[in-house]
Amino acid sequence: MNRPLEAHEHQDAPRPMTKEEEKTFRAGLVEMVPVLRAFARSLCGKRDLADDLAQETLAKALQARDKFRPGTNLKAWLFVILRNEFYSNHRRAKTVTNYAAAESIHSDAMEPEQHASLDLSDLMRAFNMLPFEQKEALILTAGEFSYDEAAAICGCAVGTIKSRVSRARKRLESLVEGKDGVLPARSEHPEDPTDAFFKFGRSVTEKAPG
Amino acid sequence: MADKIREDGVVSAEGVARAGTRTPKPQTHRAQQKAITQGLRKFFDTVASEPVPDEFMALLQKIDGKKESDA
Repeated sequence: MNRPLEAHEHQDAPRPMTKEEEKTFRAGLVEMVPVLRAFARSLCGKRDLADDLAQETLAKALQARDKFRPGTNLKAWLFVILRNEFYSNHRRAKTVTNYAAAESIHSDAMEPEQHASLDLSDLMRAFNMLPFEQKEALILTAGEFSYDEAAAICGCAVGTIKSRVSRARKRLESLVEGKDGVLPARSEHPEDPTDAFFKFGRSVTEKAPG
Repeated sequence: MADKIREDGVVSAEGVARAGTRTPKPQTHRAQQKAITQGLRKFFDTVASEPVPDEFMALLQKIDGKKESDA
């Protein structure tokens, strides 16, 4: 039932949901809150901004519920709304902002973990230096979605997603190995961990567009 | 640059510098790529498993179709 979302899909003649469909839809929204928070945090890093974004997404989705086709992929539909919100807020701000992953990076849960030879804190600081397009391509395909679905969510070709993922992985690998610039310093107790990152990350991000 | 290198880091920048620009062995590269994917997945799952903050409650009640007074 959960087939990939077609880009044109929710623009097709919407019809009001039946009571049962609406009940399922509302339950689905509640169920998706954790993954929406996680996707939002991946994109904008800071916890409070990410949670605002997740809430805006839920409110928009509730308003636009008649545009959702029951039986299609609710998670993908919500992720489209979330990224549209994100990019439209981003455009409104008219500035290239890039946030460090704040508490999420420095949380106790992340700190001691290592995967193979990779330190997760290093990885996430490197991740936050990537352009947004590469971040979303990586996160979407890291387990939640297929390349096809990620392409539908981002409104681009599958080949574009593959190339973003490939470039992003290469860049991350260089960064964590210290071959491509220096990661922003870790802070023990970051009052504003975005600061150190912002100074460094902005110049890097501007040089390496999506 | 030396002061930027973490003493406890698993990646030794000095080691990398000594190694020059040697291309990593394919299996090392694959392992690193896998570690990146697993690490990102871990980040996503960690955030997703956090308790939903209180500020979502009003919205969740609206989604549930409940009025504040019903809560």
